[in-house]
Formats: sequence, structure tokens, C-alpha cells
Amino acid sequence: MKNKKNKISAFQIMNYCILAVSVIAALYIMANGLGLIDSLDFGAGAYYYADIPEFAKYTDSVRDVSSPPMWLLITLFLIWGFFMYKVWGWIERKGKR
Amino acid sequence: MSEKRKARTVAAEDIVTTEKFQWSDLWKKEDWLAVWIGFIIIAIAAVAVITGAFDFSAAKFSTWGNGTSFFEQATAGLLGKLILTAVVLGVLFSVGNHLKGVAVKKYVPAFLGLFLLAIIVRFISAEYTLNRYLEWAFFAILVGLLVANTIGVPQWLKPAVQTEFYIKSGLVIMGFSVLFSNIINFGLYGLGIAWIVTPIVIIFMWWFGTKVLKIENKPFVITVATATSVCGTSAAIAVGAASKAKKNDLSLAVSISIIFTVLMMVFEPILIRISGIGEVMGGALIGGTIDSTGAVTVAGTALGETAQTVAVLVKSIQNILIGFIAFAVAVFFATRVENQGENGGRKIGAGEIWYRLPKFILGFFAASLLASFVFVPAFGKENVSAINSVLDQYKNWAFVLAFTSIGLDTNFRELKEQFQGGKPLTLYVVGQLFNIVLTFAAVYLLLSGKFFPLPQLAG
Repeated sequence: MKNKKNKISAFQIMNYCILAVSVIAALYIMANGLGLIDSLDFGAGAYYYADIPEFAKYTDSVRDVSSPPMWLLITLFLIWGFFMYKVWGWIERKGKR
Repeated sequence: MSEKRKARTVAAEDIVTTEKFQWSDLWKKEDWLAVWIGFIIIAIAAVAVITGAFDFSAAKFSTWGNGTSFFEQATAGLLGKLILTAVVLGVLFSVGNHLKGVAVKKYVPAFLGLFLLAIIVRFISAEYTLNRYLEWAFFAILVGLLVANTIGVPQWLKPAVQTEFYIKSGLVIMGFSVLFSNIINFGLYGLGIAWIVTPIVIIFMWWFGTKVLKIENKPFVITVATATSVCGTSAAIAVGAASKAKKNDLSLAVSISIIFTVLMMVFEPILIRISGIGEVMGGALIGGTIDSTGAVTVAGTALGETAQTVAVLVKSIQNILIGFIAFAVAVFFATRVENQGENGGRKIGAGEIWYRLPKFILGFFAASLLASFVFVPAFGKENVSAINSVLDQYKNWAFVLAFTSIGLDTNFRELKEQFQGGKPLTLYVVGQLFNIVLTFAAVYLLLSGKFFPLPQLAG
């Protein structure tokens, strides 16, 4: 019983390999400064758009002139969101039967 | 009542779930207190910016390293800001704790200790290289873990380890930055790429995580799914809180997302360039798939100016989803997940949904609506941006306190157990691949010019 519990499956080995490769690749990227743009220094911990100084210059510089009004876009999304919510509920119910 | 028992009673009562609503909930329950704390900070920041009467900015470290010494910014100004930040957050959270029934006498020194750790976290994450690749959440967990697993968390510091309270308050503040006006910038194209794809990816990952991988921890599955499909750490924080995920769930979801964001930020522009799909489609793919907004901007820029614009437009539309999805998750968990065990899945009414719903989500939504439909029309987008740049640092400090608390409350063995032989990693990798394929399909359909006219972008 104990042996069975301690046995490492091929699935686990594959996962640990992916994790190791990913961490090594991330460390290599950081150590060598790959992918950075010198002019884009967002400051400490900028992960969220409000963290990025003057972010509006990126979002407000251009816009799609053929865009329908905001209320229509939100209504369309709410309809889609409602449908997706129902699908989610259906999947959850189906698994319980 | 002994201190231990009292603490347990407070912990059990401080989250609004199934009990009937009482008016005293408004000033005694953690969810509501987080809403008031968030709105007090929003109100003071708005008055400060609009009247210009005083400076309410919280402390922020500038980048150091790469030829710039940290000591160049260690001025009286920074010290003053640190004191202001500690006082504002310390007073508000102390009052909140007093109302919750926690002894302020014990909370205040504990808060100051935790704030000191938060300063160390923000100092480390301001280093030139670390700052550009990793988010401070990573270092907050790391510093907390190091303290907890080496010298141990001293008894006097424990009253301040209140992850959920800091997260909920930070989320209400963050709500003010979610502006609906960004939705029209990329019209139906943005809707198709950012909004149609995202719920499908979340549902696919839910199915894959709960039914295929058979992960029983459902709050964890939904936290990873939204971090993958919406916007990384911020989505994980919002949905983790909405689904009442455990601290370890959040730290693991955020860590996986951060590591893969580094990889995707570098490799995705390279692969897009090799594929030759062009800047518009490439930018949209980057905006729809890379988790954090900062990394999206960098990866888009690596591809070109048009790619940067499109990537950021798509991402900013996706960011609006945080509130909708956190709300949907809160309702789903209240009605379908938590309800299963207790009531055998009986249908519950609107009243009970209200009792169960995490109330800070309403604060988050209210802040977003207030900013989008009251402040932007009344004071203009520039003023709202200025208010958000003040609020942003308070939100960050609240989240740093939260993630440091997570680290302090975690041991390495728990994290190893949480890894479940790698199932969370499989969930993320498979979900992200599905996200890339589906986003590419949407991008090809909408932006290749073969099925629909190309967007007319103008300044």
C-alpha cells in the first residue's frame, strides 16, 4: 500500500519536467535580460494596467471608428455571458448525475 | 471566553455567508468593512485630486539597480510618504478590526511589523531586473514564506495576518480603475476577441480541471482558470476572493501565472514574427493570451507599434471582465457549489443568494460603475486617471500586505501537497494552449480580412 502511494507516475514525472524546464527558462530569460524594451520601464511591480504610468496614452491614442455604442456592446456581452453561465451550470449538473 | 476561542468565533463570523442579514452586518462584517475602507480611500483620493488641496499619494519606490543606487531615492519625501501610507492604512484597518471585535492594542504593533515586511517586499521588487519580469506578489509570498519557515511567525505579529481583509479592501479600490469606456476603443472586434473567447476558456478549464483531472478543490480550479484567461494576478485575486479560495490556492495560481508570463512575453512575439501573421493579428493574439497587462505592452511593442496598440486595446477590454466574472463566480459558488453539500442541491431563492454573496464584490462593481458613469462624465478621463494613479499605490500596498500574510501563513509542505503531483500545472498549460488556439481562431476570423472588413483605427 505504502509503495503504491509513493510511486511516481509518468504523469507526475512529465509535470515536474515541465515545471523544471519552465523555471530554468524563466531564470535564463531574466539573467540575460531577454525580451525587454528599454523605453518601457513601468516601475516596481507593474502588472495591472493602472500601475502603468500614463496608460491612457496606449488605450486612447486610437479607436475603432466603426464601433457601435457602448450600451450595445455591453448588452451583447451580457446576453453572451448569461448563455455561458447556463452552459457552466449545465456542465456542473451533468457531472453530478 | 478564552482568547483562542474568541479568535475562532471572530474568524467564523467575519465573512458574510448564510446567516440572515442584520443591519449591524454593515459595520461588523469583514466584507462590508472592506467596502467602507475602499470607498473612504477612493473619496479622499478624489477630493485630493479634484480640489488639488493636498497630496494623498502613497509611497512608491522608484526602480533601482543598473547604475541607479537605491539611496538616491531614500529621501525625506519617501519617508514622509511611507509614514502617510502606514498611518492611512493602519488607522483604517485598526478601526475595521476594532469593529470586528479584534483587540486594537494587539493589532497595531502587529500591523506595523507586517508593514515593515511589506516595505522590504516593495524594495526588493523595485530592483531593475526583478521589477521588469516579476510581480511584487511573488516576492511578498517569498518573504512571508522565508520568515514563516525559518525563524517562524512571532506571536505578536499574528493578529495582523489577515489576508482576506486586505484583499477585499484592495479589490474595492481596484474597482475604480475598471473603466467601461475602454470597451468602445476596439468595438465589436474587441468584444469578439476578448469577451467571446474568455468565458469559453474558463468553462473549458473548469470542465478539464474538475471532470478530467478530477481536482476536488473547485475554488482553486476557477482561480487558475480566470488567471489564465483574463489578466493573471488581478483576476486571480478577485475570483479567488469571490470563490473563497484558500490562501495556498491563490499563491500557487499566482506563481504559475507569473512564471509563464515571463516565458510568453519573450517567446510569443518571436513565434508570431516567424508565423508571419502580421502586426494586427499578432497584437490581438498577444492581448488575448498573455496574462499581465505590463507584459502585454512589452510583447506587443516587440512586434511593432501597431501590434502594441492592438494588444493593449484587447487587453484593456479583457480587464473590464474582472468585475463581471468575479460576480458570476460569486453567484455560481453560492448557488451551485456551496449549496451542494449543505442542501443536496435544492434550488435557493434570491434572498438566500443575497445572504451568501460576498458583499465586497458589490463594492468592487459599485466603484467601477461610479468611475465609469459618474466620474468620467463629470470630471473627465484625465482626472479619473490622476485619481487612479493615487489609488493604485494604496491598492498595491493592500495587496502586498495580503500576499505577505499568505506567505506567513504557509509552510513548504502545504505547498508541495497543493501541487498534487502537478495537476495544477497541467490545468494551466492545457488551458493556456486552448486559450491560444481559440484566440487565434477568433483573431483569424475577425482580423484576417477574409471574413469581415478590417477595423478602421483612427486617432
